[in-house]
Amino acid sequence: MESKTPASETLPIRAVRCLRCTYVASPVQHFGCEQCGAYGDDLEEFVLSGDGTVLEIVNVYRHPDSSLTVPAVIGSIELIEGPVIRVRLTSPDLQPGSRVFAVDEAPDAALGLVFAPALQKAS
Amino acid sequence: MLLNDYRPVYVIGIGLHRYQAATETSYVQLGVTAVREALADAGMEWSSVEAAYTGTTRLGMAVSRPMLRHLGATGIPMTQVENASASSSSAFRLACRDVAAGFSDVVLAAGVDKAGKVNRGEQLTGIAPHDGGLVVPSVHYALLAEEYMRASNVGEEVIARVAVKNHLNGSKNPYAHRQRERSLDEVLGDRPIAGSLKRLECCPIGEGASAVLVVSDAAIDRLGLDRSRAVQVLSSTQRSEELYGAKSFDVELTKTTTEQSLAEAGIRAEQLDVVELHDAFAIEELQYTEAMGLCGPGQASRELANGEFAIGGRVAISPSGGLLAMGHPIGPTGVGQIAEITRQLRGEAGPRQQPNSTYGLAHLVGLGAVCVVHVLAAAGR
Repeated sequence: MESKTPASETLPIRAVRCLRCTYVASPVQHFGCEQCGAYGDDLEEFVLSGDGTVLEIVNVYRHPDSSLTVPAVIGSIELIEGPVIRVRLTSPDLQPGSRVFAVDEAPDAALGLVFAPALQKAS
Repeated sequence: MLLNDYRPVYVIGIGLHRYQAATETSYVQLGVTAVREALADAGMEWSSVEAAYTGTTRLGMAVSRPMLRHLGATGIPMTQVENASASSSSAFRLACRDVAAGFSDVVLAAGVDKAGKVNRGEQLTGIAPHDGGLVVPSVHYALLAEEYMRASNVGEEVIARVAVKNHLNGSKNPYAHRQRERSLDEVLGDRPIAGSLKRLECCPIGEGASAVLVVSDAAIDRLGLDRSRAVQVLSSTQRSEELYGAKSFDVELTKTTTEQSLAEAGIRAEQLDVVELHDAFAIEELQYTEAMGLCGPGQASRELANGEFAIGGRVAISPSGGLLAMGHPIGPTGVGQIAEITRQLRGEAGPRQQPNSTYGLAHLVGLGAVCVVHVLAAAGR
């Protein structure tokens, strides 16, 4: 699947698919499939669409890591390819069921992925 | 093979050093205080102890001997156990298996910890998380709280009632980190941490120590111990996380581990009188109560409001104050739960005694990755 967003430190989102059992995992790892234990050539990297749906969303007010900026917004996102991931969101106004997509807004890869409302994508 | 396929195992002595905010007190002092109290409670000398397991998470390598040598260097085997929040739950499990299998007749399971930096294996895998490190346990459980409130159609005051109940229990426990009763308004008006979770709905992590002595029938007879105060361990179960899709891994892991442990013990959830569970965050108590089968799905908030989980209710949940009020020094927490269940099943819990307690269950999850459950029974049940 082709990426819909420009190349960056965080995008496109990559995943691994197990060719033995079809389990999909993201972030990418090649240690071995969590479902069946396959490894090596049985794990195939591919690019995720970056489109998903918000399952839950919360504001983070306090964090033990003082290097991270709060308040921040984080959500559980179910990607259309199946994996559920937790990522930063650009808006606290999103609701469970909102469609979102990955955007290139993280200043560096260490801060992880950022997702924005799907309406923003259309505009 | 199950624990009860082997020799019967009993808890005969319990001891604690109060859980508290960080101090300059050495972990050695914390630990020996708890062990000496357990020995005195059992009516036993240190020289009778044949092996020791110590649960700890933040003290580094080789903690047992620098602490236990001050009880007398007897040369017994000592093993350090780390399993995150469930560290001393696993230490207790190993002690029970030692005694059940006949390797030893008297084994110490202890927990000790000081406040300090935590190194988590998950952060050292080389796999960079998508959340950039933002998802710590408080954020994880805040997300689960949102899910629970939406699925059960309840508000945040429902979750806050868990903290109110457990702070009331903790106010009656001299070993508790937090010993102050809190109102619903105080909990809801406290400092926000993540999502709807307030500070008083999150456990305090400090320091402390716990110890229990596990013995066989042979030891009770040989050492002349008081059999009427011996609480039997009916089951010891430990599982690790599987793949659950979008479902909460803590809840699913709790469900399977508890089902297995109750089956091994030969009792049903509705027979439990006291339960100590992993309420590091208030939402967990509602989720785990339902997952354990102590009430129906979506019923925990109603039953909590009706007083069913209070001391004197249908089943007392976290009569010690739980992790929320008794505290969560991490290493000691699991054995501390066993101490509370033992005290309850002996009828020695004073102002926080659950009447007529026969069966108790202790439950901890360790960073989601592991779950440990023990079922205990009063003497002469």
